[in-house]
Order: sequence, then C-alpha cells, then structure tokens
Amino acid sequence: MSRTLIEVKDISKSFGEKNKKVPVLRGLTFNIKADEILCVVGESGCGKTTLGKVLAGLEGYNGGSYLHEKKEVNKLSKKDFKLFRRRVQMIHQDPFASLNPTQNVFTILSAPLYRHKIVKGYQQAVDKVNSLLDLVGLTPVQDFIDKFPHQLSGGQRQRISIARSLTLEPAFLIVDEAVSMIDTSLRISILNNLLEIQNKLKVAYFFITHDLAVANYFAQKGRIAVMYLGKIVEIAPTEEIIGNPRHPYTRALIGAIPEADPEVTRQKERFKLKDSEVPSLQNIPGGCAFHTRCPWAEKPICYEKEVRLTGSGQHKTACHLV
Amino acid sequence: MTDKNSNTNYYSRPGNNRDPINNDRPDTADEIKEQTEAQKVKSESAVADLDGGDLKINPKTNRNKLMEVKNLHIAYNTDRGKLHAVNGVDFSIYNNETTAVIGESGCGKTTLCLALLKLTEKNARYLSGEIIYQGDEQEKNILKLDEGELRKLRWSDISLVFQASQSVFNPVIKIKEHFIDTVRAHQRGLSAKKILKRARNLLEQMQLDADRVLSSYAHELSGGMKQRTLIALSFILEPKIVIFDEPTTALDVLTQRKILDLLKTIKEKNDFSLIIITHDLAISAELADNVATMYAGKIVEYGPVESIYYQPRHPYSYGLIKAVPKIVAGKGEEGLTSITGKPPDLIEIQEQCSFAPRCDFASSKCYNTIPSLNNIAEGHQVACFNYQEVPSIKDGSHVQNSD
Repeated sequence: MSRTLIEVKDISKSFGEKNKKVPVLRGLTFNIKADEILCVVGESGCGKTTLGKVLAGLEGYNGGSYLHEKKEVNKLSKKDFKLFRRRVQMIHQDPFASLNPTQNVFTILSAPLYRHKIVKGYQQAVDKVNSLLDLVGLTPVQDFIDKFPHQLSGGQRQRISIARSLTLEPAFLIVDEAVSMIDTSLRISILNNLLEIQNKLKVAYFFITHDLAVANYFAQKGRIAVMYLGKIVEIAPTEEIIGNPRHPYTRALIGAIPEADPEVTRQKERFKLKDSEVPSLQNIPGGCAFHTRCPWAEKPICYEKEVRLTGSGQHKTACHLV
Repeated sequence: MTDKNSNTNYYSRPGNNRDPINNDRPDTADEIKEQTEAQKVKSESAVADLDGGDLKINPKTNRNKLMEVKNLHIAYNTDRGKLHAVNGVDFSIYNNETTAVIGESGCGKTTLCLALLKLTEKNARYLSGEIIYQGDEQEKNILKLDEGELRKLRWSDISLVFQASQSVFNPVIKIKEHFIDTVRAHQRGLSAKKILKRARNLLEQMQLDADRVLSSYAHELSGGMKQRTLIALSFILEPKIVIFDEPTTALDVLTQRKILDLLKTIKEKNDFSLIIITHDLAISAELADNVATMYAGKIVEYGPVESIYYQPRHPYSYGLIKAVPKIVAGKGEEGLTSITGKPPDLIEIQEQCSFAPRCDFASSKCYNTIPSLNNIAEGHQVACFNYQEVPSIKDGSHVQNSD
C-alpha cells in the first residue's frame, strides 16, 4: 500500500463578488495515493477544471483543507511553496495555446531546469532535455530539439507539453483534457505514453476528462470520480463504477455515451433523465442538486435534504436513494 | 412528444411521391419503431444475433441513387502550391439512407461536403469530376449550375448544418428572423406567418419551447438548444439531403444523447437522406447506414456500417476502430493501438497508396501504384491491394468470449 499524497477535505471555492457569489466547488473530499490515477468526469461547468487548478495551486480555495504531503497548501511558507510547485505540475488542454510560439523546444524545456537550478551548465541541460524527449516518445531527438511549436503537429505539441511538465520531476500531475484536441488515431498513443511515464516515474495522476470512455481506458487500474455541479456524486474503482454504477447521474452518463460499435450503441440500455439541461451555477437547486433532472427524485427528501458522499469501502455515492 | 408529431408532421405530404419505388422497403418509420420497441424488450439481441458466428450484413437492395459524385478532384490554391484536398472521390448518396463520412482532421471531408453544394472557398479549384443530383425534374450537375440555380437548390433541396453551430447565428437578430430570412433567400411566395408556423412545428419536434426560442437572440439559448434550433432550421424547406458537419462536437454527453435521439426520431418519421461528417466513430456507429472512410483526400473504404465496424477491409479503417476506447463494448479490452506516423502533405502529388507509409500490411506494390476503389462485396468497396489480410474486429467467437 503506497502512502497518501493528496488529502482533500470538504474543499470549496467560489468566484465573484461578496453578494454575487458563484459557488464552483461545493465541498469535495477525496485522497490520492502516491502512484494512483484518479479520473474526474462530468459535464462542462461542473467544476472539474477549477478543481484541477486548485490542486495545481493556480487557484486558491475558500474553505476546507487541501493537504499535500500532510501540509496545508494555503499555509505553505515561501520555500515550501516553491517545492510544492516543483512537485505538482499541470498539463493543459490546448497544445496550440499552451506553448510559447517564439521559443523552440529546447528553450521551452530548459527554462524550468535553469530556473529551479536542476542542471548546471548547457551540457547538462541538453542531456536532460534529450532524456525528456525520449521519455515522451519524440525520437530521434535531434529532429525535435530545435523545432518551434508551429513546426509540430498537435500530438507532438502535446508531447512537448507533457515533457515540460516532467522537467521538475513532479510527483503529482494534473492532466486537463489532454487528448480532447488530438486526432482519434493518435489519442491512444498519448494516453499510453502517459501510462508508461507513470510506470517508470511512479507519479500520481489527476486526469480530467469529459469522455467516460477515455477515463475508463486511462484509469483501468485507478478510480473514477463523477462530478456534478461542484460536488462528487460517485467515486469508485473504475471497473466497479462502470460495471455497477449506483448514482442515477452516473447511470445516465454511461447509458448516453455513444460507442464505436453499431450493435452495442444502438441497443444500449439508456437511463432517461427528466431534463437534459444543467441548472445554472448561480441558482443551484436545493437539497440534492440533481433532483431537477433525476427520474427517481422523491419528495420531500431529495428536494430538501442535503446529500453527502457515503458508502462503505472504496465505492462512495451521494444519493439518498441508493 | 410522439403524439404531437404524428398529426403535425408535414413531411408526409399528400401523395408522398418522393420515392415511389422504395415504398415497400422494410425500414419504413413504423416498422423501425416496432423494431426498436422490440429491441428494448430484448436488449441482448445483439449478442444473440451474433451467436451463429456469422455477422448478418444484408446489403440493401432497391436503393435509389439521389446523388452521385464522380471522380471529383478539388485543389486549393495556396502559397505553397496546389493543395489537393479532394483527390479523386467517387461515391453515391442513396434515398432515405444515412451516410457517414469519417476521417481525421485535414482528410478533406469538409471540403467534399462543401463541394456538394458548391460552397467551397474562392481559392478552391474544381480540377475535374462531376456531382450529379437527381432532383425532382431531371439530372443536374451541381458543379455546372450558375449562382441563381444554386440558390434555388441550396436549402430547398440540400441543406447543410455547419460545424461550430454555436457561432452560426447572427447575434443581433432574433431566431425568428433567421427562419424568415433563410426561407426567403431560397424560396419565394411564403408568408412570414406560414414560415413561422412551420418553424414552430419543427422546433416542437426538436422538443423546444417554440415561442420562447423564436423570440430569443442566439446568446439566450444554451449550446444544446442552439444546435437543436439549427437542426430545425435545416429542415424548414423540406430538403431531400441534409448534411451535418460534426453535429455534436463540443456538446456534453447528455446533450449529445438528446440530439442523437432527436435526429433518429426525425429520420424515422421523414423521408430524406442524411450525410454526417464526423471524426467521432461512435456517432457514425450510432446513426449511419453506410460509412465512407476518407484518408488524404480519397475515400478508401465504403460500406454498410456493420461491415466497416466489424470487418473493415482497409487498414486505415481498421486502425481507426482499434484506436477508439469503448465502455460497454470494450469490456476487458486491451491493446488499443494508435496508427503510427502522420498523414501525407496534400501538396505533394502521391504516386503510391497514400496510407502505405503508415500501414502494417503494405507490400512493395503499394509504394508504386495507387489502388483504386473496388467492389469486394455487395455495397462494400475498398481501395487496398492487401485487403484480405486485414483482420476482422468482431466475429462470432469474439462475442462469446467477451460475454
């Protein structure tokens, strides 16, 4: 059993002015172990990217606690925060926007190495950059080290982005929709590359995606958390959550997703919701926030009583009725 | 919703004479409905059907050609030279069938579909080929029509829903004006009242609050609502062919499901041909009757959806399908693989099979001859010399194992 790297307890975050607050994260609790993969799925606006940014230290949080290596991230000293920055890295969604177009691959990858004094001198930097490019499968390295981002394809750029996140030897990587802008035929190779990296470097992943099929593939040995309006509604090991979903929202998601198999996709069991639209974050329904769309919703409990994530063992669900 | 539609369905015009020959085809709306109902009861029938070991792929007989693309070559004039976006495409659209064009970005699928309406950008050159459309009166070559004739053809015969539907509405006019403007641009003699009556009807079929939507501006609607409004708009002149370019990209799973279901319902109830351009293999698996795989400006494989997904014969189709993760269908799946390499630069003129450098099955012949699209079974065409070596994705034994 590996140690716990990240402990998040009842974390919350809201944006906006005092009287017009928009709650984006509304009390989430989960842990991530040192070599674990946790995938987060949910519709747009459910707060999954905000959660990723909070975990990466790019956004603060308003309530609850976020412990990294047993230390509260909000209260880190300057020195500790610098270390936190090295240990926790983020890979962004859009490889066309996340790389500086005026820098070549070597500059992009060597800047953090110099900044954090990981290498001494040019030769060490070249060696380190070469090993990073090799790690993300951009070989032969000579073909890539001098290239500018516009000379690379989307998949290659995303690999550079991955290599950049690995420069500081992090222990925890937040991956935000890293393959959603990559062509179908290349997606799997990027995912496989990330899995290989995990195998070699024993890092933990927090993988954000809207595509349950991608989550199912990527977190085969990990866990999936389903988010809805700023809360986790169900969290369980992947096989368990896909094979035996409990929360009506998870059931709806699994039933709704089309699959690349004509017979299966046309005959799949659907779980019909009352409403296909997500309520606005400014006006989150009371009680269980999902009751406006839930076909099971019962009065008065689902309409009035707050719901908490409960369950024994690894499989936890936030629903009054399961 | 069903009740609402059955009596307000103006697609079933009196003496529906659009397709007299195909009237006895098995998949009329009612029968499909019965079938789907039956499938709901017996949800595992897919597995049962496959038990024998052979897939039941029945090529459709009695198909009526509505449109035929012959040897189409389109190149864009660019600073670097001629970019051959469509490079010798032959394919047909049949009456009342759904055809999906799948392929990765830059394979020419959007150019091909724009060409069906001659809507390509100014720098596009039609080097050769023709697009024959069999309308009500006589055959027309769309590429030879003048602007006036095209204006009559567009939207009333063939309509197109663009990619990025989120940004196609004019933000400063109301949705109702979009409907009126669109109709007036392509067909004369309809009063605003009549147009709005039709619009209301269609919006209700798309399960929208028609009055609210018509008097809204685009920014007042959610992404899914905009997409549904746009679908309603594409049907306003009762076209015979509707083209959807990436119909559900950028939408959430549940919104996407709603739109797919609505599309299926509208397809069952009405008589038209649907063309779907997508990079998402799951969407084409769900909606299509026929699938055309496009690679480097060519259609490399065309066939019934079951053939393409279970017994693809082109290595590229095979590679694409092997690269898509699945949920229910993928139980215990392992070894998903990507296609290595990258597509060719379309500026260079290819004198070999353009997929050969990425292909696991390539032989020396592939590097010096361009394969042509040949019939290998009824309704199944492949442009590959070594198509017999491509393994099947799913057969009887596989189904038994996974169960």
